[in-house]
Amino acid sequence: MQTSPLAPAPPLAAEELTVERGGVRVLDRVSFTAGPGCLMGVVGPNGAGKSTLFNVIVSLLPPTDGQVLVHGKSIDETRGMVAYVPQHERVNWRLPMSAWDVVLQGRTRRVGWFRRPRREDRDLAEDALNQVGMWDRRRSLVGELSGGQRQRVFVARALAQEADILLLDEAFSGVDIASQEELVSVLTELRDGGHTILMSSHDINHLAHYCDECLCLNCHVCACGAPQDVLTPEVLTEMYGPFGMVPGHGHGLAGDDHGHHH
Amino acid sequence: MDIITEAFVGPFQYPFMLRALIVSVLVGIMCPALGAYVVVRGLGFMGDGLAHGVLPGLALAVIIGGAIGVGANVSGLQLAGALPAALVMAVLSGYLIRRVGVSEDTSVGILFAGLFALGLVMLTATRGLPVSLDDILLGNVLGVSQEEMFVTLGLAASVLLVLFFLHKELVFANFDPLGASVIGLPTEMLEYILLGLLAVVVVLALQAVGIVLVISMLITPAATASLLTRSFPAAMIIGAVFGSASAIAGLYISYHFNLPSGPLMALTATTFFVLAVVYKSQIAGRLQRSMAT
Repeated sequence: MQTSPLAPAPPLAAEELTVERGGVRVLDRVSFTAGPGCLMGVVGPNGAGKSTLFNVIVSLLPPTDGQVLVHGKSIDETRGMVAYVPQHERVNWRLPMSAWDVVLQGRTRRVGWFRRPRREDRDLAEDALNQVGMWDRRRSLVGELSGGQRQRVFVARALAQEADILLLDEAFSGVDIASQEELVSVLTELRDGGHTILMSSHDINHLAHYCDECLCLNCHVCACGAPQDVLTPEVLTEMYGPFGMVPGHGHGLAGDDHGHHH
Repeated sequence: MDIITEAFVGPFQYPFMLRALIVSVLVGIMCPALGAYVVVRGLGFMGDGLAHGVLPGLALAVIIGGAIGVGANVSGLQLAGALPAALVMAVLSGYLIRRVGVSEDTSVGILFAGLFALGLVMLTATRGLPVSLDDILLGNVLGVSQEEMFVTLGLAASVLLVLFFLHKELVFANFDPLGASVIGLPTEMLEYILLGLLAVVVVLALQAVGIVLVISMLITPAATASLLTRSFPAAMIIGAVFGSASAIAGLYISYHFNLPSGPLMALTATTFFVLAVVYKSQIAGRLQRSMAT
């Protein structure tokens, strides 16, 4: 949390974020920082406040208390620097959109009201699609792509937006294992290029394997740091209860986690 | 004039037929252009509800018109009564959904039934009305006045201009509302704009097909188009072609066989839809198979 006055502010910092809804604390004094070139996994059981945290970060939801700073400034001043990959079920797939259309949406803010995308916008959209390896599928309807390809198209939209902070809510829902690898390789490439990426999942096993840092959330921050350091039996118990079980997996998580980190 | 030319041109030697044609074609174009959104958003019930919900506004206009003695010329007042009523209902239902937390179909259902009932009571409680309930419920495009035609022309042009210039924003907000908010689009305002357009379009369509059949112009040609194309802008344009073709065909059949025009427009639109379904399930599949082999 400590930054010297000379060091640039971190891309993303949450300070004592608290959200109350109907008298219930959904988030309780959540603080963390995400540096540049960081792939951070946000893990926790269903109802741990992962989506709420993301909604606060992109200022869809005002926090009851605390604040989010993007490069040291408030989110309203830095709108456009944060991009959002929506959960699958939040998108209206009945509206037919090609991958190309979706990526161009990232330019909406720069293009401005009433106008059509210019040459420069189309070039950026093309670069973005190439970067995620979806240029050849640009004419396909996103609704007909596989889960992983769809996520890559939304990542390309974030790139076209020229955002340097990228949020993926339930990044792997509806994405099969093979395309998870492709999605992650795109994300690690962006991480190496200096992007700050937060991805949430209730499936801790996959996420812990891929990310540099792990934010363990269960309404409050249970732990934050390198996965091998923070995913201790104590933290897992705090998140998932005394049985240390992850939904959908029949074995203890701590043991499984061992297998991932040699 | 030979008999064929007479069949096509003949009806339009009457000014009222020409006005009917112009209004019907305008309705046939703008209903499906907006209807493309109605279909992908599942707002059909909302559109139908708006059409029924304007009845108190229409009734008030008719009653005031009767009171101030405009008599048979009362139809000019109907747009003035229906438009505010539709906008009020659109805003009310938006409010119920977003702020009170009532589900979309419930909010529409409550307003739809309540307002329609109010309108019926108002109309039946007033004696000596200069307009028949049938005309209101089923439309009377042949009775459109010149003023109404110009108002329709102006409003139709406005609706199409808004759809054109806000296309990128409306599509984004309807496809991915969260993403659109995050990038800074005022999604709530865009939603009200869409509902406002729906209110205007529904009221204009009342003249052509009446309260009961507005829904047929709003969703049937748009749904027909969406069967035939996978591009959203193309669906708007192809829908407008089907919509205006239905309007013109309905008017001709109505003239030559002396049948009510509104139901015939709706029937023509439905016929196009059935043909598109048959095409899609039979011919398109066969074409693909023959190309594959």
